Amino acid sequence: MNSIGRSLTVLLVLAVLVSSLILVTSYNGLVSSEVKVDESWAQIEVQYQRRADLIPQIVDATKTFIQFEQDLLTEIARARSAWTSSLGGTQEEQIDASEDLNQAYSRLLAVVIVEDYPEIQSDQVVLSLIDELEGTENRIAVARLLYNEAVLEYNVKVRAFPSNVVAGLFGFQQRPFFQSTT
Amino acid sequence: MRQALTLALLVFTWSSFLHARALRPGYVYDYAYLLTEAEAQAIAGVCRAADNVTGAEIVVVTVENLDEWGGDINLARFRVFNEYSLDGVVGIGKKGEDNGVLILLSYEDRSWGIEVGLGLEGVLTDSKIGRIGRERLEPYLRDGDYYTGLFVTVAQIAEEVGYDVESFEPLDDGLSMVDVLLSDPLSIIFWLFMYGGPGAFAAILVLLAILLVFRARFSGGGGRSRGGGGSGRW
Repeated sequence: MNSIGRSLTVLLVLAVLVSSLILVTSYNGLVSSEVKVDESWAQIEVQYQRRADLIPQIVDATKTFIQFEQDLLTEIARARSAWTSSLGGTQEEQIDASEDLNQAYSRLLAVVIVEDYPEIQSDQVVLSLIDELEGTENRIAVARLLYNEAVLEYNVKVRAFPSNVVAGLFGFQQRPFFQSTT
Repeated sequence: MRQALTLALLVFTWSSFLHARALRPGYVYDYAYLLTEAEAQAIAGVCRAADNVTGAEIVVVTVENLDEWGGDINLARFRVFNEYSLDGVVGIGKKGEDNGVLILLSYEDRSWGIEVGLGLEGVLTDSKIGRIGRERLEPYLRDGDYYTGLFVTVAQIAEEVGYDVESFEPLDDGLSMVDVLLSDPLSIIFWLFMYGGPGAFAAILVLLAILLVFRARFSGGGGRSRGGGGSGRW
């Protein structure tokens, strides 16, 4: 009886040890995955900001050529101020505002590239600004890709056993994927 | 005395190993067969020399099409740069420095893409890459002169990352101490066994095993990118 009691105690101690080990590693894993998600989101924000900064420059550089496209210019100005005011908001608001700005800019680009503005197309300043903007678009695409990979890794941890128990205990929520509108 | 000798040998081997140039096994991967063997070697020679001087890795990859990446040249250049195993080396540029450049051509789509590692984004801005692509690469590619286009582009990028192309000199066989050890380990082991005793023999075996395992880490590679660069069509 005594020896059974002793081995039960040993088993109990072992169980507590193992479960606390699982708890600690799961918790740390969740935290590091969550940090990675936040970091990836910050990268997207950086590139959004870069795009928002570049667009006025390209508008300035092309202004003399396209001054009669006033609608377009006011549209871009409006979208840009909407973006600025979305900065304090949620991820969804920022995404919406940035996509809005992007659409306005795409129309400008379509006017510049597709329509008949040969002076613009051979202007080195405009060309290099377009390069920078296309580069930014690509960086945004890459940042999205990495963000979604980070979210996937994190969400799997939140849902899978045993880390889901820890996630429930400490209130780790699943994060939304970045659904591209384009 | 014998132990001292063994120790000296080990220190010598290790230090020469650590000083071995961390050069990539290759620089030109012509999967679309756009270049002749000699042309590929000529381009790789410039890349290799530039790597040796500046540490920046310029790698050229040609592919038949972009099916693997859903036809997206930008996705393709990002994936190849960061995830493709080229001769067992993943990631272009040195680890931690991220100083790699990938020039990717897709033959059927007539698209080019240049991906710039994080560490070179300041030197090779997107607008600079766009300009190099338009002025150095596209004109030759349109004529079907892949060699000249790639050579001129590689030379231009090498200049930008701080290599004086005028001073170009092909490297010798480029064999480092690591290569020597790996290519002829038997005679070295024998020699050590004769003069250093079983202790040195065992130590050198362990050393060789470590070399083999970590070879990729000391052959360049490991650089990352985040979508910097540019792309276009010809």
